[in-house]
Amino acid sequence: MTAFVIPLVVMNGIAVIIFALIMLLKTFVASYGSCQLVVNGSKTFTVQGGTYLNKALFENKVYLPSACGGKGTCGFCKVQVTEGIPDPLPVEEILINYKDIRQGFRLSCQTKLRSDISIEIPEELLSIREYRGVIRSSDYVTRDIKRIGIHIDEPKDGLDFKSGQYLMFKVGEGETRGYSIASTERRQDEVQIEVKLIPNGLGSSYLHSLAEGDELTFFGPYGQFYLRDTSHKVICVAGGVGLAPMKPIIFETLLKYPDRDVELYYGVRTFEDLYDHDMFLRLQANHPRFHYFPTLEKLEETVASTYAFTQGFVNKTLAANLTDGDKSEAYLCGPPLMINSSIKELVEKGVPEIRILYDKF
Amino acid sequence: MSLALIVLASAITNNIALTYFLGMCPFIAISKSLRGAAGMGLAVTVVVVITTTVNYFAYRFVLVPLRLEFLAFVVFIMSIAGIVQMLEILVERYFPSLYSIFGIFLPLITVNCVILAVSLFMVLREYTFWGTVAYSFGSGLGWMIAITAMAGLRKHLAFSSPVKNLGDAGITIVLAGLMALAFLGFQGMLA
Ligand SMILES: Cc1cc2nc3c(=O)[nH]c(=O)nc-3n(C[C@H](O)[C@H](O)[C@H](O)COP(=O)(O)OP(=O)(O)OC[C@H]3O[C@@H](n4cnc5c(N)ncnc54)[C@H](O)[C@@H]3O)c2cc1C
Ligand code: FES
Repeated sequence: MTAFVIPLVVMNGIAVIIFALIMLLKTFVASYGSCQLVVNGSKTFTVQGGTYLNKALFENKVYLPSACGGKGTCGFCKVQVTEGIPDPLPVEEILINYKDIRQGFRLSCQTKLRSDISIEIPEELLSIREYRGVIRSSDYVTRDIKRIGIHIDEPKDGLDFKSGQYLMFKVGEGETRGYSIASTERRQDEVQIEVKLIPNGLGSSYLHSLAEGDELTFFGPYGQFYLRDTSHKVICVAGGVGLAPMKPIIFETLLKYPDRDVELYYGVRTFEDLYDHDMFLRLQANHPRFHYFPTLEKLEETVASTYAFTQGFVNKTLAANLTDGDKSEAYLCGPPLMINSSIKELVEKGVPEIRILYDKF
Repeated sequence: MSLALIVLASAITNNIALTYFLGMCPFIAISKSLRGAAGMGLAVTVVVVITTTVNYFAYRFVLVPLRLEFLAFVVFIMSIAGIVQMLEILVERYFPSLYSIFGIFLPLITVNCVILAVSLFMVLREYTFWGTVAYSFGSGLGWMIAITAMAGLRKHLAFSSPVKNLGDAGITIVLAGLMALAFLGFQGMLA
């Protein structure tokens, strides 16, 4: 009997001692009281010390972008700390360059509030709001891309965005993913996105699983990738689902700017991955200012279309067709490889680098 | 054996990373940057000294008198987990700049086999109290030397082009093997 009881008592005794010590430390040492959080010198919040900066901002309705759920791997949540700058963490040194670290840039998801702090964020982030919507439609446009139409319920005055911007969708507890606005028609209470299914992807699987009538939450609009108000020719370069943000850009240019030409260079793998092809052909027929250059990486013989596709990568089509590079500005969206090779081509054609904007997916 | 000899032996000739090949996952994963490697090495050294000393007392004065030596495994694991957590709270509160160097590694260390192995070796080799302190410090130091040396070597890898299919981790393991061979050379030193 004792041979059984003594080990039990010893084990439990040790466990209880360790547990009690940790609890003591947690209550008396790990409490930081409350801290003042000043945003852009104008807004002051009182927050509980010991919380992370991104959580504290979120609770006060300041919604920073994030694509990694606060794991410190995306770098979207970067802010500039002006007072109470904490020492940089190793993860921050990987994602933020040395110069910015020196200037106080930190990842808000890695910054624990231990004392008063002042931060600077781009002014437009302060106008980001939380939206609630209901799925109106969800249809496959290719075998792995779904077009999802969302009706905005809350807030009532709807969404105002710049063409090319994106929204962050809540896809799990504390997890968000960005998806570009793909609406062709501008409406305050409706928004469309296009989502490519990534095998085992948290966000894309979640959005693909939603059906008509399901509710969802999102934040926005985010991004410096939007149509600039100039008189330059608009060059859109899209790879795969990177076509999504091009649609608002193309339609806004055609509607609002009677003197600006638009060229769309759109690259996909095979004919099956191509979508909205007929819509762009019709658009080209109706608008002399719109030019459409689809490119297929692999050209099978069985393609169910009489259209004479170019075969290869987008940068090849770009090289063959782009003129007046110096009078153009470029918008690129797609996989990093495609973007890098296309930027090289654009620069060679004389497009000034400051007029090349891109979103890498 | 004098204490200095214990430290030297555990740090160099019987290096825990390069002769026992313990603590391999952080050894491969965190040796990408010198700063990270030094932080991780420091964290391991601090934690291994504290946990082994505490485990020494638990073993000598609780488990041995009660003839409960067979509980060593469970007790060691519990105390390591608890101590790491307490250490994290304390360092974060009182040494924020130290925390920024190795704080994020502390939770990882809970499951680092170096820490448990040193406690278990301490029992096997029947060290005295000061012997335990010296042995654990030497082991931590040895692991730190190994990982920072590896980080230094990997910096140079960036300028060379190893066989493509060996990748990043593969060539690191080959390097670890070569380093182990080099450390074998120390064997005769403390005979
Ligand atoms: C500004 C911005 C705009 C975006 N707009 C769109 C959009 O309009 N439509 C859209 O579909 N996506 C868009 N994305 C990408 C999107 O945010 C997600 O990254 C993507 O859907 C994958 O998320 P997930 O949660 O499904 O996968 P995760 O769970 O994050 O990842 C699962 C696995 O897949 C891998 N993976 C992640 N992305 C890819 C990829 N592209 N190809 C292959 N493997 C991958 C990851 O490394 C991981 O191993 C945008 C991203 C950004 C930053
Ligand atoms: S790095 Fe992704 S949210 Fe902070």
